[in-house]
Amino acid sequence: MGLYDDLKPNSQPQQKTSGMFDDLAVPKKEGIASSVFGTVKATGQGFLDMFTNPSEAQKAYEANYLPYAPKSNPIIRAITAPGVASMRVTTRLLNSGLMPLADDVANIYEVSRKGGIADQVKEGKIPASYLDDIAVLKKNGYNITGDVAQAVLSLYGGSAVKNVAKAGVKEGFKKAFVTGAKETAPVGLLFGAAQVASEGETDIKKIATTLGVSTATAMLLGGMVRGTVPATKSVSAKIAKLFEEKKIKVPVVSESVPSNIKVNTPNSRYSDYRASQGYEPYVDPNTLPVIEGGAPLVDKNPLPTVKQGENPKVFVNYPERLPEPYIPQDKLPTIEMGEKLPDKSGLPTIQMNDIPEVFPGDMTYHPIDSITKTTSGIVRAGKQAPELIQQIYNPIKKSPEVAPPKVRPTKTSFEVPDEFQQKKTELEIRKEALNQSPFNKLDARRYQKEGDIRELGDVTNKKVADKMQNDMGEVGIEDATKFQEEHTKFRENKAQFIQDEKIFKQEVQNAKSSFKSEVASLEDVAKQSSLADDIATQMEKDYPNNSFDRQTNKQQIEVVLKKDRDEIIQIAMGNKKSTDGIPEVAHYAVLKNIADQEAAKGDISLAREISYSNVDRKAGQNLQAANIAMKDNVSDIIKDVRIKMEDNLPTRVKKGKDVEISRIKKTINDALKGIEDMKPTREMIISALEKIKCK
Amino acid sequence: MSICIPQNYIDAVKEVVSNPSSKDRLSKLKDIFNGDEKLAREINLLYEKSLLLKKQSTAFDKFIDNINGQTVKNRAKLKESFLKNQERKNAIISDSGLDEISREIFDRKYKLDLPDEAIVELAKANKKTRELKPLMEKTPSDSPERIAWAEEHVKIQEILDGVINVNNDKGFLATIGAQAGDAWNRIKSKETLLNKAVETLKTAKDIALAPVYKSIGASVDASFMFRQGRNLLVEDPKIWAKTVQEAFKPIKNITSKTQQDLILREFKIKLASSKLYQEALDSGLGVGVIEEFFPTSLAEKIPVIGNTFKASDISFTMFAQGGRMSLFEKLYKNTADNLGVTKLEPQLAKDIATRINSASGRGNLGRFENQSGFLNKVFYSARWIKSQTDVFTMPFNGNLDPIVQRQAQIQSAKIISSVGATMFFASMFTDVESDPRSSKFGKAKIPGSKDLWVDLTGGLGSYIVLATKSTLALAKSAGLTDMKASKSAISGKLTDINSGKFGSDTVFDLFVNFGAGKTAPSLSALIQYFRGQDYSGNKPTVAGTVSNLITPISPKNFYESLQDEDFVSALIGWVADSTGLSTANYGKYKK
Repeated sequence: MGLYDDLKPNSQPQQKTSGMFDDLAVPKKEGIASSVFGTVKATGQGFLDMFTNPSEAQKAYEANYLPYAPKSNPIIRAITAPGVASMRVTTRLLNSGLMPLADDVANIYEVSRKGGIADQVKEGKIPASYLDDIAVLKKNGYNITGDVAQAVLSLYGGSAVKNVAKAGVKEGFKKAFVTGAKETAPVGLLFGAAQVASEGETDIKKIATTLGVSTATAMLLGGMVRGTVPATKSVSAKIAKLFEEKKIKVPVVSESVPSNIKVNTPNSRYSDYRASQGYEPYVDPNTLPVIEGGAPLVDKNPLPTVKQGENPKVFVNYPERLPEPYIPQDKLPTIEMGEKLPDKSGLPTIQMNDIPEVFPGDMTYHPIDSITKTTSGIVRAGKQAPELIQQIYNPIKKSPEVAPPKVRPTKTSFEVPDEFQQKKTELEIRKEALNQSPFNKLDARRYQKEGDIRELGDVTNKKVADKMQNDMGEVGIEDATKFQEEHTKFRENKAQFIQDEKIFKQEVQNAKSSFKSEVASLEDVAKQSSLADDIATQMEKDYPNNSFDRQTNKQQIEVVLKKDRDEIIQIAMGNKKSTDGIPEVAHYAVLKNIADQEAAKGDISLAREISYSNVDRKAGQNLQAANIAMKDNVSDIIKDVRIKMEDNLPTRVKKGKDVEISRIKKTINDALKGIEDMKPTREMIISALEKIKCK
Repeated sequence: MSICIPQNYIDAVKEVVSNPSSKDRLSKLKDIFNGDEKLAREINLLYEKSLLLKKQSTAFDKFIDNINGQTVKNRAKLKESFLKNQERKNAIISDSGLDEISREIFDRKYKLDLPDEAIVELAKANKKTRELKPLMEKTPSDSPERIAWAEEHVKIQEILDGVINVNNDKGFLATIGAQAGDAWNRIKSKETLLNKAVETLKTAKDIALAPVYKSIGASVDASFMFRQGRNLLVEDPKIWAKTVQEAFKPIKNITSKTQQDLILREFKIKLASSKLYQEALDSGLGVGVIEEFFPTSLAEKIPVIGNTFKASDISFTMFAQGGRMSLFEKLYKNTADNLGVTKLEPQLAKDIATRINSASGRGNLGRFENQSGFLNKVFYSARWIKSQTDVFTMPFNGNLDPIVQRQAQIQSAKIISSVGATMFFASMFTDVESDPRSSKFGKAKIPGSKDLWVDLTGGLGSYIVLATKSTLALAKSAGLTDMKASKSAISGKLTDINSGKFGSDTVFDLFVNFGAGKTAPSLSALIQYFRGQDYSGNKPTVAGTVSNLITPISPKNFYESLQDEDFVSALIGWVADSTGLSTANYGKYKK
């Protein structure tokens, strides 16, 4: 025998087992897997033995109590046999748990029956060895508690098994088995604990084994019981299917109530869970039922009610600019020639100090005002590039005298306007006429060659010429020239019709789009009108130390909303002082709201930028997700999250933060200083031009 | 009004602008524009500005390519961010603009920035909450409008959680891997060998002090019932019972993390749909916070057994925060009714919240609040210690609103009397230590056990013992009494403190030992090494220390009890421990 022979497979003779799992026996190895397998096997075997190979005590019990029926009467025996068999199975399952307590009770009864047993032993009436036979005397309180617990759990096991079986009705076998095993595991564990207590066991390994075996047995039992139900169902369903084809299928005509199949998904489980907590499912307001006449309407329309003749308080959105209050056409100022225009050109104001090096010494910078003054004079007839000038400058037109705007009643769907209706009818007539034309029936391909229209004289192929002749007959024009003229006219009409129809469709589409944008713009306007109010409310909450009241805040916000966006940014970021007495926080509050709107549309640059502003108050200490989530705008959220995450940085990084940022700034500054001498590459020139060419 | 160059003139202008001399360029532009010098100047200026911006972004791109500590993705993001800002402002970068860029570079390097997608999602959800807010404001708690708002609010919380805890979505190994990767990168980035060694030691320290050991220790039980829940049970048994019932939901669903997540989400929505949610947050009530006993979710990611940790964490959170919210609603309403108002003054609401936090194990650290991170590295839970001392100190806190102070006085009296009553009741059946000079004070012996005792005071006993012993010792030193200050929990022998005898305890020792007993798991392990023995008097070993750190407290106590006690006693002890009635096995000291 070698030193490592023990490690070789099959080096030891296999331990012979006798049971249903013999075939599964594997060479014995030391290890977790084999240990687990051994336990499972032992559990199964023990479980099986409980029914097939009962203990002597159980056999005695069955012999004494079960066969109520007279053995001599075969008829009664046959009738009662199933009951006796089921009772046998039940008692074999339950008795192992009930017997310890029954023994205790029997012992106690025995002792009490004899009366004064201790005295009798003392007097020598009963031999002391007799006490050894009374097991209950050796038990302490915990052992007896264990016996009682076993009995209780055994009885409870019955109802548990019943519940488990009931619950398995609606499940598949696999799920039922696993769930049954899971649900009965605690019962098994408790039973094991009761067994341990009953036996007074203190060896931790034995305790673990008892607990494990008991739990595994219960799981197996639970799984099998619960799994049996669907398995039986499955078998009966298969049997039923054999007869199903014989049934007459009645087609379902219609069902007034849709029958939805319940699909088990995380969302459905979540919905079920919510429903179990008493929450009603969320209903989209758009899908809520329409309240019919007579019923009071819930005013959910955010649009303000605008009365006839009243100028609505509205704002107009311009790209890259803050919403501006809407000014009716008749209130627009008339700009006279030579008058200085307000600087709303959108062209940035460039300070000489910013880029002095780009101008050669003999050139001076002329403010844009000096050019815009002559705007109207720039359009010069007969000059070389009038169209260029027209395109470069969009001259400001004098506002026409117009009537006060009529308030458009709110529409809910697009209606084709009258002018379109007329055109549509005209097109329909033209289409019909073209369709009815005899030329329409001719094969157009015969008159086309490589995209060109060919005439009868051009045709060299006799077959084609014959067909063309035939076409003439079809149309009823004998003269080839006339045929040609008429045919050409038809083709032109048709081409024109196609073009007109295309244009018409586009016009309708545009009208629809403009209707949509009109509706959207009205909604925006309604929202904007309450913007100042909203921001003022937020300010009241965010800046409790602000000395202004809400109304004043609102007025200030309205002024800020009219300012140039860049100016607001400069003030809000603390780069410029506010000169009109409106506090910086008001600018900041406005900017945050604009940043929010932009971020929701996907442009986050402003939100990110203003989250670095020092104008706003410092973030509070309580920077948990719930508190941060209560912030009214995303810029504050970004700021708070950053502070929160910064707090988690290692101390050494936190301490060195300012120094590192200064170093980064200096390095960028150094890098940017070189741009004065940077030689522009062709790519840079093209890119620079690309930015300033008309789109 | 804006200026631009029409497409058909681009080629001509391109020819001209490629001339490096501004003077020549201007002259040729003048020709194109029919001698209009002003227009030529304008176009020249426009071009030069555009070129300058282009040069600037090129220079910035180069700078970004050459800086250290940025990932490829970060570099791309920084360039994009710069370009967007430049386009938006259409101006050369200002000094303050440089500040912002520098800070953004720093933030991206240390992952402090929110991902762009998260910002967009946040903005959308935020927009929705703002739209829903006016609809729910006048509705009662748990109304559909409030629930709709709360769902969006919780969605924001979830986005934020995902951002703040960057490893939230990763599995256990991936999280460990990511953290190891970060540590490795930090070490690698150090230039000298010495610095690398120092960084390695710092990383080892971080691992040793990792908060995960706390989470593991506090898991696998429902000790919140009688430990953190003791005060709530005394103050309002109905709320306590309801909250315990709710808190058991995750434990019932221990097999499914998904179900546990749903339960937690539902709980958060329920909290947020309370009418007083805003007031609760504004007042600093401990809702939506991370509980100190579960500072990290790392252990929850461990396959299979992670479910147990997660269930413990969520149960604890639901109990603590659900109880706080319910009590806040009740007290807020009662106080407002008594005062005849609908809304309480913010300071009064804050005081109420402070008291409730304290009553549920989340004491206010006061001036040390901003040091909570450090304190939690030292102690298992600094707020829990504070909340225990608050039972004795809050009734005398004159800074509180008189209404709240009165509530605190009543509550402390109720707690102390209920503990006394429990001790008295238990003494009818078993041994109960009532001498506050013994560390066994407030504990009852489990009937039938050798020496296994259950704490009936919910942890208050140790504070009473410390106060009694030190007061008596100092009083005796001052000659005010002849009583011996200490009673041995093992032998029952009475001894003096500050006796001056060699080896005898001093008041200083009392406080040091008391503090040592409250330390965080890692520090506690270190102290055992410094002392040369663990709490059972054995020599500490590495295997034992590691095993201690990664074993939850209640199963560990159960295992230890089994060494000295019979199974049933140990089992009873385990059940008691698991519900917050801590056990002490004095048998192990007698060996």
